[in-house]
Amino acid sequence: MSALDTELKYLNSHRDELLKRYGGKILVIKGEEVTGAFETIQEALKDSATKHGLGNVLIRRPTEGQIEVSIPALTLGIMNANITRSNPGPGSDSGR
Amino acid sequence: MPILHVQIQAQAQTPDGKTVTIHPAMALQQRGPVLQVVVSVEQNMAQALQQQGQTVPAPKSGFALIDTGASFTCIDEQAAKDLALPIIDVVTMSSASHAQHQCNVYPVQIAVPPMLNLQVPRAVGAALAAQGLLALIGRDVLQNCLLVYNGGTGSISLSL
Repeated sequence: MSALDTELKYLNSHRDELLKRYGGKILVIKGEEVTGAFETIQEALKDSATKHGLGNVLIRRPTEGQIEVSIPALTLGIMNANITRSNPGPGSDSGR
Repeated sequence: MPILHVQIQAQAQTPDGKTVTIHPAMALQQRGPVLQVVVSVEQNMAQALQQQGQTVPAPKSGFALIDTGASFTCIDEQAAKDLALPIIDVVTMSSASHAQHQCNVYPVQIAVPPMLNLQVPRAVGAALAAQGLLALIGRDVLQNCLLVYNGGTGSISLSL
């Protein structure tokens, strides 16, 4: 279960209604309540800290779906690949 | 326009135990473009907390790797927890070898002493500590930067 499960379910099930009411504004959602709607992420973060401190909140435009990120170094596990091989291992052509 | 210029430094041990300095060009090739950084709560949130008399968690310092392959900036998940950062969204990370999985999103600022301060309202949480990293600086930040990677001198320049 995600930390923002309640908020994400609320956003997904009320998307049309939220779009009609807030348009493309960035929403701050806590539980099943929209506590703010803003033009910029900076305004949304400031308002969130004022109202909710460092509590978890969903901050997203209702027009946006879930973002997919691409971090190949992490997902392929190649961040610290070491190609130095002191022992070529079985199957290598040693010439003997 | 602030310009940060860094020549990568590294040391290694010889088989007989002597510590030797590695040439910056080789250090850059081995370690990649890493910067000493200080990660803290995003600036606007920190200001709002201070105005209310609330405590702002102490920043954490460590290394960040500039990763032009990363679509978003990442912060070490454990560091985000230590900083008591709020989760403000979840994103999906796709992988060639594993099923898609969800990652938390945190609002941070990444200071690169002495003069750069990168605002990252949406940094993705990922397990970076095992790699000796606190953060990966991705293309969401780099879209506002000029980055020069000078392999010959083992140096990088970054400006906002």
